[in-house]
Amino acid sequence: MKRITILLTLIAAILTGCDTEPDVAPMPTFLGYANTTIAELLAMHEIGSEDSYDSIPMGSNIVICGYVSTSDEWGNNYKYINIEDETGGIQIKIDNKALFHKYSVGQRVYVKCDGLVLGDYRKLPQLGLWANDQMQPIPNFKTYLYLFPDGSPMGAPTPIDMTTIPSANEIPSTMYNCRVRLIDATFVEGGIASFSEAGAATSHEIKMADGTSIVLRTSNYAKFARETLPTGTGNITGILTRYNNTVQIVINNPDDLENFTVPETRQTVFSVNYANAFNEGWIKTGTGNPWQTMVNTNFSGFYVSPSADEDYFLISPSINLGSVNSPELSFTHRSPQGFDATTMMCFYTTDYTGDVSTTQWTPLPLSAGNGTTISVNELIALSQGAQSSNFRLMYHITNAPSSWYLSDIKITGLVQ
Amino acid sequence: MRKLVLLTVLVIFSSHSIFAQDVKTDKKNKKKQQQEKVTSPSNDENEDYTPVMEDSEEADDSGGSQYVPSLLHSSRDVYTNITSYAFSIAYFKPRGYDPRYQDVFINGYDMSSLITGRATYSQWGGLNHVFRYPEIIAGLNEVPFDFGDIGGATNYNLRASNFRKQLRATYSLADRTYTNRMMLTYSTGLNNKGWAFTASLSSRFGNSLAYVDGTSYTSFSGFLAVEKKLNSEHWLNLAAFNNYQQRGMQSSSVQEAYDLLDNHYYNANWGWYQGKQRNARIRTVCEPVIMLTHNFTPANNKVIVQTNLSTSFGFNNATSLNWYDAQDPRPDYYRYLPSYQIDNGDTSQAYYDVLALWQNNVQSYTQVNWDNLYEVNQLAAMQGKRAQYMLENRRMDHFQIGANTTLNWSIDDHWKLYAGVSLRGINQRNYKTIADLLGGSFWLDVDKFSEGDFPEDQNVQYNDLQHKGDSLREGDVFGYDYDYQVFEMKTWGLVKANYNHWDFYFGLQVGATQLCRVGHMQNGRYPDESLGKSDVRTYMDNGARAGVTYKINGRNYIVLNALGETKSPNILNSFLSPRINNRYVEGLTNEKVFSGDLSYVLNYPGIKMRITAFATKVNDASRLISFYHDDFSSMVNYAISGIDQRFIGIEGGADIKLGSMFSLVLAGTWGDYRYTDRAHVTMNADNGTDFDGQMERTVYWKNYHVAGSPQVAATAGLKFNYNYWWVNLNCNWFDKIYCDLNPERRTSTARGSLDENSELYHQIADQTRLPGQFTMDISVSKSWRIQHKYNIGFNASITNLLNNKNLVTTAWEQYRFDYTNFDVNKYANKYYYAFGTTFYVGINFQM
Repeated sequence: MKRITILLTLIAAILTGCDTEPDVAPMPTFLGYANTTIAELLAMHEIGSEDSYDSIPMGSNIVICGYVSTSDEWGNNYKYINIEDETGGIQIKIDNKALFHKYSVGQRVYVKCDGLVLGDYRKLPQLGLWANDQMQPIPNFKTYLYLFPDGSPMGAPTPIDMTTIPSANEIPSTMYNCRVRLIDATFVEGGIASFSEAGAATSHEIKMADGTSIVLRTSNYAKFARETLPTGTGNITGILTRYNNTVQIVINNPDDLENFTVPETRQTVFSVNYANAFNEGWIKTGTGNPWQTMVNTNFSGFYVSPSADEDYFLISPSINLGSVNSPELSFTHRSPQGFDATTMMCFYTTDYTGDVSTTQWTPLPLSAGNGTTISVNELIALSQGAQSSNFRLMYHITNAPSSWYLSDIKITGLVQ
Repeated sequence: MRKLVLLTVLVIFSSHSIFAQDVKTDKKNKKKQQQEKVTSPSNDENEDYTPVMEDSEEADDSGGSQYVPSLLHSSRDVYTNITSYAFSIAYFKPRGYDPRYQDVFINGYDMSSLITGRATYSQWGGLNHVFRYPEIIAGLNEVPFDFGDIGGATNYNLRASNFRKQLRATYSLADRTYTNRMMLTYSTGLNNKGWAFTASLSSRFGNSLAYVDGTSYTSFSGFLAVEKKLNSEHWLNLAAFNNYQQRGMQSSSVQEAYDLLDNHYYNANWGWYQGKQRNARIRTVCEPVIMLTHNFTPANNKVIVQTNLSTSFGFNNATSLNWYDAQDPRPDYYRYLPSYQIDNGDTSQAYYDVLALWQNNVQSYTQVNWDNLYEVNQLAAMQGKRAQYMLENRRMDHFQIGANTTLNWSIDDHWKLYAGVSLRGINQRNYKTIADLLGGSFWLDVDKFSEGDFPEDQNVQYNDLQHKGDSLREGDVFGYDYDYQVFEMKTWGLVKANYNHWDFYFGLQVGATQLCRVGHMQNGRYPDESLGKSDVRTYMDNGARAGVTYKINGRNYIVLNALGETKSPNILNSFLSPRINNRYVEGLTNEKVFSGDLSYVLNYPGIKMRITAFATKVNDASRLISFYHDDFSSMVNYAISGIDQRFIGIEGGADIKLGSMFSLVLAGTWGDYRYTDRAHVTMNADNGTDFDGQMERTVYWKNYHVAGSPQVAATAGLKFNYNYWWVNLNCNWFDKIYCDLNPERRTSTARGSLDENSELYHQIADQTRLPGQFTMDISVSKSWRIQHKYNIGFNASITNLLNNKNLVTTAWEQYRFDYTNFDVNKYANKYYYAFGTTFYVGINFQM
């Protein structure tokens, strides 16, 4: 019995000790090599006057290899893929949808070209199949004869940077169907038009920094068709195509639009309505006649005439400078008794506690000289820390008898 | 070939002389061995089928040098006895083997089909009175009437003299596939003139209680056996039987349909027609068997020679809907389900419309809409156009004939020789006819997947160039028409020796199988390769087996068996596109099977137990599947070769007496059945698409599970027996139930560039495992003996007492794969569920 137990234990150990990890199918591989570059292939066909084609004869044994640059996942490319190598790009027409599963961006694909047709549609080079007296997409059930994905997808092909757009005929045919990046490009209808109108594919002009232009072509079936074109200037990555003599770019999805920014301009982000300032959040302290406002044709602003040697504070309401770049404070002030930099001061805080004494105030340097009696225009750059959503200004005067007039208090900054 | 057979016979027979010296020296055990009580399992009066051991009561527990009786494998072993019914609800297959590895014999004649390799049990369906108490050889144990196979063997003795004189009648009522069963049998026994007659009639009919909507069952069976004792040594028996059967079939379906209807027994095959349920899938089988058996037993009683001449013929037909340029008529077609209306996660109005149709079970939508099919066809007929729908017969007519002889020779006190020769041949015609044009006027025999694909060659679309353009009507042959012809020849021998503490045997088999296809249509896609006879291929079926039993004492045994064999490829898997051409699958080769098992058998009056560890390796198996391939827009034939599988596991059963009335029965198996290597696929399209030679694939399914049976099953039960009352209560557990694989989903093509760790990759590649399930069964029976002359019996059983409707018996991934979106749910898995609670009651009269 003991021997039987040992035997059964041994059998159980053998049974359970086997390798049982499920097999994993490798990614498809192509057993061969490319003997022709895409540029060499393109050279076999001369772009004709309109839609001309050249057959690639059987037996020529032409194999090209490239990396997929297009994706139909967002619906902007339909029934074709583009591949490119270091010499050029080519569009391959395939009669199927959702090609991105099989030919995802960055996928290396070998193409056996024998029996295919190399031609152009409105001067854009294409590979397809000849049927019914015209160039047709390769039927899906025949792709296995011509297209051979190989290995795992790499990154998308590196785009060619373009800062200017030559005319259609000046661009070499090898560059079409390649991935390009337009640097500092601006949509003429940015912020106004959508990528594509309903019912038809739509073209939108893109202006380059040098004034040349190109067309963004977007399908009305694209999932992002109804999104608005971005405003400002940025970079656009897509496939360079042409339609006769119109140079176009086609994007895979809106992520191909990068760094689109509208240039910042200096704008007034804060000013004072002196007629109603204290109802709009300005705070004043001090005995006697503390800060008051005056609005007339000669002067509009704050003024104060302290009756005692004590602190007279004038504190602004909370000002949001959070989205303002390079804020600057400007105001005009005058002290008829002569400016005294030790008693007349300006501060700001980014975190007002509600109590002047417990708030951390940062002094701002005023340019007026001691004893000055004329109006002085101050322009003070607020430091980086001032870009707060709870920014407040404070004017402070302590000596009496004196008076201080403040007008044209404004904060400007760079905003989009 | 003839020389090879002769050589084999010489080898087999010469083995006796090799061991003759040893045999002669061991005379002292002769007396003991003669005590072997060879029971006849097919004896009608042997009602109790507990495992049998010779002289069990007198067995010597002490061991030593005394002769220890051998195990009789030809009785029901304890594991088989407990599990054969308890596990059947889950479609359990012993050791996970395909049924073609289990041999079934009648009078020692192999009943397996030469086409499928499997025995067709329905040929004797309903004839339970005469097909009772077979001789069952479990597992790898040696078989006295054949070389055997890894799945064991079963032999029915249908000699008329085997049935004692009796009249027997049975009526049963059930709510499963049929409602009523009636059986009547009369046997004369062997009369004074040496004649014996047995006749049996049976009918199963009625669907009023059928568990699944739309199913039906009508069956009539008959059996007649006549035996003449020619003299003291020669017996001649003629047996004939048939089961005519017509069944309305149940469909499998996707989980979505089951869930929407809250019914795991949704049957998509039927629809309302003229106020009645009409099933589109009706199977009709009529395959009679006639067998002439000669038995020769010389006076010395040491030799038994049994010779059979047998034939079977008839047809097996299944109807199915066919359509051309029209909407798919199957109601659970994927486009008709709510999930298809969801686009990128967005539910459209169409989704809610379809959802409502399913949730409200609008049967003009969720079942076959016969009225619509007729309407479409009638409209076409009015315009003089062809029918767009029809019901077709998929018919198989076969004629099989064969002969065999088996020798059972007790050479001396220790040695026995079993040997046999078998010759069998079959011609099976496979073709389709038009069963019903459904109101249409005519049919054109064109392949809808080829039409239009080859405008330069219009002939491509025709299935039969010799009748292209014919307007076909009901009864006409169309689609495909070809014969399968298989001829098999085998000779085998097995030598067995019994000694004090050791028994051993070894056997050999040499055989060959020839196969070919004969086309009766000149197919337009393959005009030069479809008509006439194909090449004839020959494959060898050789095998060797051996085993040893160590008899520790009369109660404890250790049994070790091993078998290795080659099996010729099944003809069903041999032709790449048998419907349209004569091309063989490239690289077709013999299947290699290696198997071994090691058992410990314990056999006390109060406890009987067997525990076995088994391991089987099958290499180079092949399989042909056909399905619609999205990428090629065509039906494709997917020939898989080099399928390697292993089946390992442990099985055991015990029957423990608890006093005089109760017994505890325990049985279970733990198995691990997997593919062990990658397989190779050659693909061919039915529409004639040129695959530039042949499309090749590698299937990466190593270590995936072989589906088709729970790999874990266990049962525990209590038996009660008192005063002719029998009550059995069983609790059963099934687990490790796997979905059968679509090999295409484990190819590089299906994976594409998907990352191995991505969710989508796992959706595509992972194998579905179904949850384990628990069931409970109970049965009660009672018999009365009246006036010492009549027996009246009553039995009732309730299966799946707890009404568990979540036990999946069959699951498979659809072969169609969504190559556009790689969405595995588009063509979702299909399932069959075990029935919930069902009953079976019967009364039996015997005199």
